[in-house]
Amino acid sequence: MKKYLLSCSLALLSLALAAADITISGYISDEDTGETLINATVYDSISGKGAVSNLYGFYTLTLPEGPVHLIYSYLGYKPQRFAFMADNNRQLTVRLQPGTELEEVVVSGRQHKEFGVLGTQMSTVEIPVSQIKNIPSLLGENDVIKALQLLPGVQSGSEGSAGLYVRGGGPDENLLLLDGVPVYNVNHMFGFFSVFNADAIKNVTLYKGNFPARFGGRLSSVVDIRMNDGNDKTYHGNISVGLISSKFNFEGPIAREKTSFNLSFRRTYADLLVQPVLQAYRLNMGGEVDKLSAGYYFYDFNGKINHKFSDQDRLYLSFYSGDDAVYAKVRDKYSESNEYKYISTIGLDWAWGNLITALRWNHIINSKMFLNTTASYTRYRFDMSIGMNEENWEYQPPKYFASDILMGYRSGIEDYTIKADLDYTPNPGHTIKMGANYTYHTFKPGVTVAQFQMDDDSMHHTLLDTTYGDSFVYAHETMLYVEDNIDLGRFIKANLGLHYSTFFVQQQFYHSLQPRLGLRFLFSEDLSFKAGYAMMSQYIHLLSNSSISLPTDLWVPVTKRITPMRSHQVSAGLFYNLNNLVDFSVEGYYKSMYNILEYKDGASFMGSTTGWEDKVSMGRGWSYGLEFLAQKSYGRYTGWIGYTWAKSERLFDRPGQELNNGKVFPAKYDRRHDLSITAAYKLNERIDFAATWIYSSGNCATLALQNYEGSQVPDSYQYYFPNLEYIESRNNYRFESYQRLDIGVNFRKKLKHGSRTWNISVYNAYNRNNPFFVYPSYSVQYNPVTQQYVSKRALKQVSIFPIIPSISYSYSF
Amino acid sequence: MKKALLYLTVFMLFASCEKEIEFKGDITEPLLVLNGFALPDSLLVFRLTESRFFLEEADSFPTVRDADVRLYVDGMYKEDLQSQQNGYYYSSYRPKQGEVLSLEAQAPGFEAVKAETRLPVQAELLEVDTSITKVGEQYALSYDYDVEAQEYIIDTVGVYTNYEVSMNLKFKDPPASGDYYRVLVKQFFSEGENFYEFYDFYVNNFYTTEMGDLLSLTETQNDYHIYADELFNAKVVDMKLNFGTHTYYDYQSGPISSGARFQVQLQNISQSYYLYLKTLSAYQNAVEFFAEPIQIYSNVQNGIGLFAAYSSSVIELEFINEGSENTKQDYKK
Repeated sequence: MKKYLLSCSLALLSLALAAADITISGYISDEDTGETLINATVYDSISGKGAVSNLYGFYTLTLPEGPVHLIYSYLGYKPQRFAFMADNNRQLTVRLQPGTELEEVVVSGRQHKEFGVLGTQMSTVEIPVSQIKNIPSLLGENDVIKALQLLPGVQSGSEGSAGLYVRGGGPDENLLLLDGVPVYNVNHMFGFFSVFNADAIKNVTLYKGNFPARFGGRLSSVVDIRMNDGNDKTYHGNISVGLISSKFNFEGPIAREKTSFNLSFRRTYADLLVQPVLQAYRLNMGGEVDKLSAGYYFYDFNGKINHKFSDQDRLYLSFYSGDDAVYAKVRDKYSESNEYKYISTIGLDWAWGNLITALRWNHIINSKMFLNTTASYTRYRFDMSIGMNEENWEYQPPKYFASDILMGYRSGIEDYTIKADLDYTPNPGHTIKMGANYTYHTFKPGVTVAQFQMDDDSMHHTLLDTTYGDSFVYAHETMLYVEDNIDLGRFIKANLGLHYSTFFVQQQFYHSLQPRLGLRFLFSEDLSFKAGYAMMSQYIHLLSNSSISLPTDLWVPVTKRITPMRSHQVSAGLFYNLNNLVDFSVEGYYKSMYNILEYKDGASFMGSTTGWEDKVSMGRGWSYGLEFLAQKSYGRYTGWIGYTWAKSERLFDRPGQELNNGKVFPAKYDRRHDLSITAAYKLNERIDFAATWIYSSGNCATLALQNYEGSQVPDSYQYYFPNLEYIESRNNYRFESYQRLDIGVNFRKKLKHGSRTWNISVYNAYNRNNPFFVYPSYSVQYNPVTQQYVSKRALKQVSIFPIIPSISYSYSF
Repeated sequence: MKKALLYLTVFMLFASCEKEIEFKGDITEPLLVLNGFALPDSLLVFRLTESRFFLEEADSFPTVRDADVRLYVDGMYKEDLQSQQNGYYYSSYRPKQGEVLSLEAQAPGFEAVKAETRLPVQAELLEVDTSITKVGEQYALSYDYDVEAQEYIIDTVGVYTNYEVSMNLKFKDPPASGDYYRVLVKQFFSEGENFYEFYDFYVNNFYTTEMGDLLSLTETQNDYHIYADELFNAKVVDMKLNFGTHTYYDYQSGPISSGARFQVQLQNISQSYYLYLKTLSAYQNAVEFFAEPIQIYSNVQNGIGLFAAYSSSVIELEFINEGSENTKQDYKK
């Protein structure tokens, strides 16, 4: 028996030794810049196993001991090969060189991408930043959000706005992350531009469904935007001058291949250009206006520093600050020599914007475990002040009088967050992610400050000094998640996840356990079927005007009456890769949403949180659709064709919360068809072209199609029959279709110390009058021939953006 | 070339903005509009008119005189209503509190319409407590210009006496939810029952916490003083009304009126009436351009309009003019 046991043990030991695995891990980055590459692949051609680098460029690949032939690849880069005898764990940090020849991209390597045919993740799109920069845009301002709006399943809201409506969801249901930190207000200039400066960005990924368990807190989408780390070898920069803004980007090493930085700054300058005009106007007014200045601008500043302590430890510090500002100052001065002097000043200052900072520590615990710990701060604030000051001097007899009035308004939101994310990869076919997140929210509803002071020769009087408004609301939000991405045989792969979140505010405790599931069935190396389910929960709401983005838009937490929003989404689709050139996907989805909010008739939000719960109704909605995407991300021709057929409806039928008489109505941005074609063609090293064409069904609007005689109200001063409008249903009228062609061309030239690019682009090239809104008009005109007044009723449409050409110049060194 | 550039610039600047467009939806046919109220022990009176398409050039709404209108009470056919002038229809039946009334109207060229309402049972007033406080006097002045002295001679010609009326109105809301109320205050003049005016008043501490602030443009207005029992269902409700009034004593002709007579009404209104007043008020006060348009409530199936009902509890209130007739004062600067 002993002999038998011994022989068995030896056999098992020999099997174990024979099957001993080694793990190769490290970072994959750009040879020239040192930027870590997200979703780069490493593939062992002998074992057929591969891995993908994570958000920080880290990869880990466990292989059987013995000879390996590793191929590292990334789209647009020359692959690197390493062949060696792997007999123990080792760290291998690889730098890939940007390449231009498509043929050199290794097919097998690319396929391991998380979102591709082989991965479990669906409903996800990654747009290379180089493509975003090429897309022709309004006034030449490249815009990440506008680029996302061109993808299937994503809609833009009203003309020109930077709002995102993903798969029938609302604009506040998107989690926009900048280096992992939520950005609460992504708009500049009332939503016509977004806060993301493409020069500072490395990677943009949009999740529309099948959300991995690591994400939570919003119902409809996650936009994960990563900032550039900075070149760790040499100094580089870029300066560009456009029609409305100028940009500056500078990056380089602080300590070569150890510490680097990246700084980007953008500012509009229309306010600076208009100052001479204002001064001319001031002089023309006869000299009584002593000082005059007014303007509007926005700016963005992105900064990032990263330091490599060792192969195991890296530290990143990210920073973003961006504001919109409106200012005006008028000073009048009158004086009569030796008699009196009078100075009056009126000033206005509005500023609103985000401030974000994150400190992140990447630590490789061992070759299979990667830990990311982040501490972050984000805040959005809106500050407004209007002041009026008067001063009077009388000389005979000497007398002085002054008054000072100040009105101010402040609102915003502020978050402190700590989180830890652990990636554990026991083998190439199995990855476990888990993490925890705690956020301390401070909601700052509108606070109004009013001051009135007077001074005279003898004393100072404070006639009014008051602050009123709602007090701050504090909330605690926690999240825990675990995600298991595992191969179940050769053809089936699953991503099983659980996300648990809690929210504690004003003695109310809410929590939610959200299962997530992603499945992939592989038919061949190029074709797979995927299906997924995700439940999401959201604890905060954006109070906003329904048509345009205003700086007074305000985030508020759930309350006792307004409970958290929830959604369930199932999706399924086919994914096909053609010769590693073009990715095709067809996806269908069905999403149900609960406790979503809509403004009651006649209500909207203009900055006051007071009584906001009475202005909204809580109800449910559902959306379903089919999305088609063909995307080519590399080569001489790049771009994508996206088409969506979708339907999104709402039902608000709870007693006391009825909208549309408790009947189903289309969501505000319900559109049946959305087609976008984005194409870029590189003619040669000096010239490239780009064009975008968009066609979508018109937006919905509510229009009264009948007028009628209303009922008199007994016991009131209303002695007449009121002429009323009859609205049969909310969002009952559909605008004309939306169409737009944007074209652009880049002329590039290498110069002695860098290169320059002239960009000429035309927005709305065939000058389509797209509807911004429509309204019924009524006018009375006098007809001189018949000498009678004739009334005329008509439907009028207002468009805001005609054909708009723009030009910009940029210089890179 | 310069001209071409100029034309191009002007074209681009003005190419957008506003234009008249063709309506491309379904042009809807006129609908039958039915409006009327039911009061306890009173004849029902209705009016039928036509609606019109919003782009149609017309200033009035045609009345419908040849409709067949049938009245049902608690689901049972009661009678056909008689057509009178100007689209009015009258019943001979006088409905009672608590009855469910249905109307069906059919007119040539229109789809048959139907509307239903319940005549609410009047609330039981538990207590009415009133206090009238004199809050001050104000002299009426005359201004005569003295040509010789070239100045105005100001003299007192009468006196206003101001009062503040406080009223506690205590009533019991029935246990079932879905009760709606309207409160109103009328002052009658000595000329007769038909001469009265409505008094604006404040309802204090009554299930409302709304306050305005600097940017608040959208606070709910309650022009018609209507309340739903959502927040006070099945409770004893203590409503406090405050309003001010005055009497006037003229030094030459004596008191203008012998006193002031008020009528305070607590109306139990049907849900349809409540929703109509609520949406009508919002419609009449709508100021925000970007707000969702207001759907004015209609409870007429296949048509438009309002069939509503209400019962009233009436409190009469009277007080004597205490004008200071013997205290003529000289005006002092």
